[in-house]
Amino acid sequence: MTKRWGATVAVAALAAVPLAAAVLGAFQTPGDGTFTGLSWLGRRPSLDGFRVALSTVPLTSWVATSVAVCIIAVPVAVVTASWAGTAAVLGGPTTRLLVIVASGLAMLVPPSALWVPRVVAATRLGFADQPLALATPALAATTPVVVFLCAAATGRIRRSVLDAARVEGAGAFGVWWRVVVPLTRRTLMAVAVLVLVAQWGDLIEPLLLLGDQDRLTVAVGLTQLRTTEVPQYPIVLAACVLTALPPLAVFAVGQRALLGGDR
Amino acid sequence: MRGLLPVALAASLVAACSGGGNESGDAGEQGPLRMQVSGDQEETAAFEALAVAYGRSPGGRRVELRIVEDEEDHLAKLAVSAAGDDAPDLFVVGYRAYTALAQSGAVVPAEPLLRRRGVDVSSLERAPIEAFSSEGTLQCLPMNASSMVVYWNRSLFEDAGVATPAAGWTWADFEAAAVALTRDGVRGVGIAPRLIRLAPFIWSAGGEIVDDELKPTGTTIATPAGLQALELFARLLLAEAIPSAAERTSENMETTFARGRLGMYLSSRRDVPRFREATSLDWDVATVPVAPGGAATSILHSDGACVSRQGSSEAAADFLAYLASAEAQSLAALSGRFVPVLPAARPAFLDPARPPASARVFIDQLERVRRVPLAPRWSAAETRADEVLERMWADAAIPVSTIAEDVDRETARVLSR
Repeated sequence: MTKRWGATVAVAALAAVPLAAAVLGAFQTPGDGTFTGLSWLGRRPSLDGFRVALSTVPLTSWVATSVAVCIIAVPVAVVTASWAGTAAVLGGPTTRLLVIVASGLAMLVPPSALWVPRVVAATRLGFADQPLALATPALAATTPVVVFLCAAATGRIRRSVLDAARVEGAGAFGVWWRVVVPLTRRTLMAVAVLVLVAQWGDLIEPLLLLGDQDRLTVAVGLTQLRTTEVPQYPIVLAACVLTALPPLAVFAVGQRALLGGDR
Repeated sequence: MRGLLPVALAASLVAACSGGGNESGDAGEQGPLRMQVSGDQEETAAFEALAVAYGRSPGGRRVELRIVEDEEDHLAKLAVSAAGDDAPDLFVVGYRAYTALAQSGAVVPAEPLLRRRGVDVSSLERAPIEAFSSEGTLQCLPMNASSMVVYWNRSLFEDAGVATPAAGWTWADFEAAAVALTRDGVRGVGIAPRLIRLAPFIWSAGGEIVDDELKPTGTTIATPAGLQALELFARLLLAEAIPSAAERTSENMETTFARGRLGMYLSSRRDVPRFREATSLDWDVATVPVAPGGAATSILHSDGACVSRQGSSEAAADFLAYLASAEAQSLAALSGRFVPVLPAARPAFLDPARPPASARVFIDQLERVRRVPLAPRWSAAETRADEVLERMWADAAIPVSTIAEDVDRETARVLSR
């Protein structure tokens, strides 16, 4: 047990080094010598990087766009994935096979093959240049992997429990809401995190679907700082730190639910 | 019925958030013109100034700029949006990349649109006009008649006691200067491992970079002129006069030059706005050095504004005609980013109050600039060549003949697809 903890702490510390350098680097004064990430240590930390980042690029608008997309996409994707997983379990062998085969085939489709259809669909639906277009894949659970996850979690519920709910008069929706959701809460939280990460960090879809500079997502917006000169890197890091706060806040709030459930 | 609640909720969210969904996608008469450009903040500032100026001009219209910093992302977005019938009204691309877009039918030829608006295309600089013409018709309006030059740091030259670059200076002068300028913390010359940087040296030595300029099937670097040019840079790499790969990773060469730690830097006009901001930098530009017994030459760098077939062509053409005007060309020239394609805008470009002092070098070079082939696969071939050249910059001990042969083989592979 001690060895396991030691290994965990070592890996965490290793992963934390670049993260710490990034956070500390954000407090270095922009343009104050060659950027090293830790070179301000021993001097007074500066908030200039944050001030410049907030004043030179529409950071708050980008965060608002990303948050809005996630607020729509994450719950829709979780519900869709859970429904599909429940259908795979309740629907008998044929439905189960259909869901699994369809999800498997969907995973084989290269994302780049969907770029043009996505633009066409967004244009036809009137979503062209609308952040909402980024949330529409949530109607298909965003990624087939989460459907597999939900199907596996639902499949671990004892059949007798599901049948008992049916005997009590619950329909498909009732079984899902009263039995499947409570008993797969942990999986659903994991699915929510996966979808959140996928949506928050997605670069190519927002790049292709959005054009308005003030309504970009965080991932695309930050690329505008990519060619910032090295001595000005504190500005880039300050922007990264600021835009990392919303998902960190979500994790801080949701970690109890994520880690405390049964499945 | 209850099972439909989340769907209804999602649908209502969709409906609520998509209000006015086609507002900016509509290229109708009253909406803003959408123009997609690529480049960093210094580069795109000129386009922002032009967009604002056009919006305020009589009969002008609001232009909404869509900035994609990375050029590859810019081209990918253009290709996908064109395929998805959602292309911007105008876009700006380099002549090396426009061919594929023009051949795919994504571009409305600019010349008829401009002629109808009284723009005399023949009054513009010849070299960029030729670069953006297909079958005798101008496809996109060139915004820039730039070419590769040698940026040089006056203070470093004086400190090292090296003669400053003069017209007609030779490879020997260039090499000697680069080596003499190299000392602790300072490198003699910055040159990116890219085919477009090497090309003027190969041309100057009497060589060609491709076997057929109209229909290239491969590069011809493994030739006496190509090897001569590669050997020049291999010697400079071995003398550590060129920033190493690690140095370039930690700080790009523009920044190194702007910070006064690079004696010379080979690039196009695009870096002028950045160097003007470096107030402590004393710099100027010079022509590309001439090969032994060779001729002076350089390579054209030009970006063109193209009218998209899917956008509002007439309104876009009005803006295009404005971009060709003396007012717009002067405004663009003042930004420092552009070498005007309209000779009437030269006074603004040559303003002695704005560095570089030898800005005329860009104008004088225009008569002898050459360009890379206008082939649809050329951009991909060039990218592959650059990947091979990067190996040479990382390890100067690799024989230049090996590098040259690899470049020729790899580009032939790309161009034959």
